[in-house]
Amino acid sequence: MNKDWGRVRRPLTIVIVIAGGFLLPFLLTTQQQSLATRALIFGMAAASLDLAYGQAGLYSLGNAALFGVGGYTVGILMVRNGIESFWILIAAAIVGAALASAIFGLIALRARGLYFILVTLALGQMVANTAQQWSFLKTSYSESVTGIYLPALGLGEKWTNGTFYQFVLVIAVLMMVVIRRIVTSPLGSAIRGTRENEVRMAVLGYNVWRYRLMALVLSGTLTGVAGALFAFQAGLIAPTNVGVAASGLLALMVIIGGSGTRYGAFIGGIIVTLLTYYASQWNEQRAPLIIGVIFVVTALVNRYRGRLVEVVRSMRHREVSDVAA
Amino acid sequence: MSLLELNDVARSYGGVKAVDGVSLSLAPGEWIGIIGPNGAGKSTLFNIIGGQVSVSSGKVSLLGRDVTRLRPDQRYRAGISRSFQTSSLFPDLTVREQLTLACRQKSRWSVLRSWHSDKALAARVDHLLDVWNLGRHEGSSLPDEMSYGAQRRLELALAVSSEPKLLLLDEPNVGLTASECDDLRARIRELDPTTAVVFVAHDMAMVMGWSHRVLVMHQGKMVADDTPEAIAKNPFVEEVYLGAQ
Amino acid sequence: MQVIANGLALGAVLFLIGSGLALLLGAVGVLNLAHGAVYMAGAYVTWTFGMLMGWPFPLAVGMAAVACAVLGLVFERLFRLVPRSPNEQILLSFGLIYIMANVAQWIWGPVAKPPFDVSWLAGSVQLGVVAIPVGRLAIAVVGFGIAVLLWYVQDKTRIGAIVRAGMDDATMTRALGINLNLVVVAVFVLGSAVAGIAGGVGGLVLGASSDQPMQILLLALIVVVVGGVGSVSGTIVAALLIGLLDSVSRFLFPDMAVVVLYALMVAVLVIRPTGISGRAS
Repeated sequence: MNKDWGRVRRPLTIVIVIAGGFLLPFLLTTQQQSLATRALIFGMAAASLDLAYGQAGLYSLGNAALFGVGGYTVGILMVRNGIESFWILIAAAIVGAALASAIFGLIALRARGLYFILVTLALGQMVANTAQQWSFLKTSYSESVTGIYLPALGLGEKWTNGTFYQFVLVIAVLMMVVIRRIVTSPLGSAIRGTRENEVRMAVLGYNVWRYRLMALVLSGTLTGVAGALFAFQAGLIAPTNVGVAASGLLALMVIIGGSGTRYGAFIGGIIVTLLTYYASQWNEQRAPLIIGVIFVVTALVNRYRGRLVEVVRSMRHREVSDVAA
Repeated sequence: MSLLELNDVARSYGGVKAVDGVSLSLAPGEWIGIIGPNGAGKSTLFNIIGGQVSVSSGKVSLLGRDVTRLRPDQRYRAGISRSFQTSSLFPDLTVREQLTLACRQKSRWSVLRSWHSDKALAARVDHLLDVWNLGRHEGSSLPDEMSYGAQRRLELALAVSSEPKLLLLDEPNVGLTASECDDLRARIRELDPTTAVVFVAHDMAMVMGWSHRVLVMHQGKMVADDTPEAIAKNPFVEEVYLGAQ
Repeated sequence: MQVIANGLALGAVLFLIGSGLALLLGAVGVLNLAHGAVYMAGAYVTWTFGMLMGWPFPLAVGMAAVACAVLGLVFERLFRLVPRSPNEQILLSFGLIYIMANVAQWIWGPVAKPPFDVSWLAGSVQLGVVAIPVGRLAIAVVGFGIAVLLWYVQDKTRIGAIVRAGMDDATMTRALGINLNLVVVAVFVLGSAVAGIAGGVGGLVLGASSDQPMQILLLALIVVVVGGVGSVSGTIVAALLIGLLDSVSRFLFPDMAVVVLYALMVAVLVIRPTGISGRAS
């Protein structure tokens, strides 16, 4: 009886959480629904970054560029070409982000170790600068693409903040399922292998570079999807959503939530989004200062994280040995 | 045809010649031990065969095929596998996961197939766990929860998982007792008889017991290549060792 | 031409910043993204003493160097307290950037300070047919001077040898009884002081603003990627190259000037990933 409960416990919790998520809009104001949607979107962006960051050990500080590719793709198609269908738009965002990630990865993977981090930073900012300068990517006096609206699903729906939130929730759940599938698949374990012991992996016959590239492309593509959703939700996409600051924030979400864990990055995305929002509500001028202090404190406290990981590990082992015995 | 051939292989670091014109030929199923004082170039030669280090000049061939420029993962596919002197394991993966990773490259895989459904793969992993005395229950352990001996066995299990044509063992007896060492030899003997084994070691008794041939290296050159008995009686070899000590 | 002078001056500033970052990365293995924030601090401190309080300019820059050296000390302590993995270093660096940028806005206001106006550095000097602005010349001279000093330290002194040894093999260096920790402190302090000077002197052209932590960091990054972390000369060449390239391309095609720099970085990565000085990390 106990064993059965243990096996059922996790999926049950998840189902309850998701169900709760669906019912949430009824408890929130329109403004809060927007915030919740935003939080989900960044949760997705962080979770997809973690595919490269936590799984492959590729500390990319340039993922906002891919976020931007997704957002700009749908933005331009919608505003300049009048395409309204969600399905076409998202497909375009996926293709665009996949291509961009491949190019990004090809260049960035030329650098090793800490260099890689620097290069991703610079590449990300390069994309942001291009967004700032290239007139094709500007539709208004501000240097951004404005006038984006919620797309059509072809089901005759009428969007409200609440229903869009639920729609995004559905996509978020789907994305987490996809990510989980990748992580637990042979591909996922090979990717983790390249992070843990690169030399051994090569000796075991794995082309380490290829797996790293795959991780980056998968990660970037999914981040692009999140970016597309962001564009829909925010109504615009600007270079600041693409640049160093945005990329850094994504990485911080992953780190704070816990890289390489099951849902850590996703939760980190939600937490940081809520944090930044409420901090600026409290005191708009000093909000970055507060956030900065939180980050520094988290970094300092992290030396004890090792012990926390041990505790979690031992709990996980009890679970595994329960199942295996 | 010979399994492995080295043709005048050399490797320099700046002005230092770590390996200076070594040639050798290895037949399938042969066991060769490489000995020599520290700094003789054994590890470098070893790494050249394994692909961890590139050559400055010379050629490495496997079954007639030039593998000199191949990366380690390409050499794996060609049939070369190796173990490391300090166990090179995956710190956060269980024993079963590590062996599965190792065995998987032998068979085809599909990205979306979860590894529980691949029965043949699981059976191979179980077999390896049994043969190397890693025990079914240990399948869930992480490396740092295992004894040193168990870690070494895992290290070797990883190396032989590909059923290689050429097995490179870097000081396989380090930290093992004499009986564990004999055990090891027995297990490797159980592999395909056409598998050739090249190993580096410092323990003379072990080298004598394990090898068909012994190669002696000194200052980057191969100074002797003979049967163990002949090498033991070779006065030059004695001098090389005593002189270096 | 004016453009060349600008380029050289920018190159000098870039060198000062880039060398600090490169040294930290190469010698100590620390990723301090907040290095650009130190530059900003130097710029603001120089402005406060030089422009606001009217002190002589060199003295103001000196104050900046001191202030930033202290800042470097603080940073070193913080980085020591934090686990030595990229995660924590990224967290810490970004946190510091947020904090410092915001504090700068708090103290000095959100409006950026324009390029510093120092009377005896105004105007131009005639060198043959070319008129070079004195300010740019001063920057280049300071940059060159410090470059020579750093090269001397790296190549000719005991400390330089220790740093290079530490870069190659930290364990062995410690085993030889050398106090590597002290060297780390020295690198932080020296690197920050130099960044502070860069901020002060660079203020003649770039002013001071709370955007600088990121902007300068990015430029320093490109210098480090192009120049590599192995030697001072690599950083010098890279910095000059980038400075001149930036200046020239701003002149020729102002819109896409920034992209040229990144394109250079990409080109270097593709052709020679370890940078000009070619030391594998």
